[in-house]
Amino acid sequence: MKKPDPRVMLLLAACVSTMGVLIETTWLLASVFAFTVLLVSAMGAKLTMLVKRLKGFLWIVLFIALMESVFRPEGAALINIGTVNLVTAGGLLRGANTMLRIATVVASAAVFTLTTSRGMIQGLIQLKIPYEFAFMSSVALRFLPVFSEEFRDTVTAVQLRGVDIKRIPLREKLKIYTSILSPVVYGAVDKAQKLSCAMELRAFRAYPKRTSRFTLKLGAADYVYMAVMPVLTAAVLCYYYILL
Amino acid sequence: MRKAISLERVSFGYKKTAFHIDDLSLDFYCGETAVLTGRNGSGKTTLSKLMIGILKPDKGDIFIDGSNIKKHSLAQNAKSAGYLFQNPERQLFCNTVLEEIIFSLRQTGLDEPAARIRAEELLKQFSMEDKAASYPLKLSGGEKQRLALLTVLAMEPKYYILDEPSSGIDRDNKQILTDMLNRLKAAGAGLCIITHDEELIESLADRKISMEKGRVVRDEKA
Repeated sequence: MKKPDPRVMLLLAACVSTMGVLIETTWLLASVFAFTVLLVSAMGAKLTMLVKRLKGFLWIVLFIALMESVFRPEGAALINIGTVNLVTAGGLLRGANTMLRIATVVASAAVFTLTTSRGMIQGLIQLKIPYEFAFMSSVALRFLPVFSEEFRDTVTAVQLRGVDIKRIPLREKLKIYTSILSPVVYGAVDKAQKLSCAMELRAFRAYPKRTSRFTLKLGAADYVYMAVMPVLTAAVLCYYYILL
Repeated sequence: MRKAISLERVSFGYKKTAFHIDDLSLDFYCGETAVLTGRNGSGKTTLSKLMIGILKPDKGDIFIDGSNIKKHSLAQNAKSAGYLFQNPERQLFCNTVLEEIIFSLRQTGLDEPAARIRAEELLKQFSMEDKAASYPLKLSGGEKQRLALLTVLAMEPKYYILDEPSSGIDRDNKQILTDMLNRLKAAGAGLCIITHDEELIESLADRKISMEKGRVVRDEKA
């Protein structure tokens, strides 16, 4: 299958994420997720990272399932202590819904790996988004792994000072993570300042009107996606809100 | 001399690059200053991170003070061997210079008042007492480097692994740093210093180890 235009990728991610966020019926959410995985795989995106990324969310999902079971007990109680329901069928279902929602959004985002940052910027420009915003959003995405690495290094630095993060009480842990945020935020602001200076030194925004040598052209398949995706999304949402 | 850190048939590779360390055995001793040199990308920093347990070897064993580091957490290893990052900014995370040192001292078992007194002493000893209330990340490059080293020093490890401690600092600050390292050496601490700095090598090295493409190509007395 031909790689879609970056504008189609944006539309696809927006449609799928909208369905993922609004739908609360488990089987329908699962269908949306399956459809997203199939479509994105057919387009050529690799989903090997999906499982790895979702593993990180597993604890959040279990936490949500537990909270839902305790505070909004619905369905049969599966585990209880006295009168307090620890795990209910409803709670588990809500946890599963959260997991499916996250999985759908992550799977739809995998489509962006099919384009370069230049392609995405051009896509945004041709959607009439000012170049400055388009460029900044692309830069922000590029810096995410850097921040993640910085955060990991700072956690390592804390451990190198003799703090066994895995073994300290939760309260201490929270205190440590809060203090780690300070250098990471400082680093982010500092990097942003240096980056803006570097960009201006390379004459960024020197001319009010910017032209592009490289432009995107929509192909027949792109028009099909652009016609089908919003209609499909609207149909699924109508089915969910009116018929279900 | 007693072995401080031993690497026994250690192999390590990064997933996304061709770089690898293969079957490397090397010993570092207490009271000795070993200088690790080599071109960029030769594996010096990787080796130093393996030595302390920041990176885990694919094969082989690493011992600190005779104990396999696999059995201990990074925090426990750090109490025996201090590590200084190549970029000192990555090492600083408290709100003031004084708090940075107090944080290290508290991990050695000192209570808050005792740690504060000791931290003030250390700052005075290394001419940084006027910076006690400053935000660490706003210090100059040389000051950040000195502070990062002080946070390691405060924990009083038996061995120090320092990744390019003199990079990006001026002559005056380098002199202060060299004095600090000489003091550690005189106190009998073992040092492993990764550096390209000829002056630092001249003034401190007991042993020179050169690396190339993940291999030790030269290991000789200075």
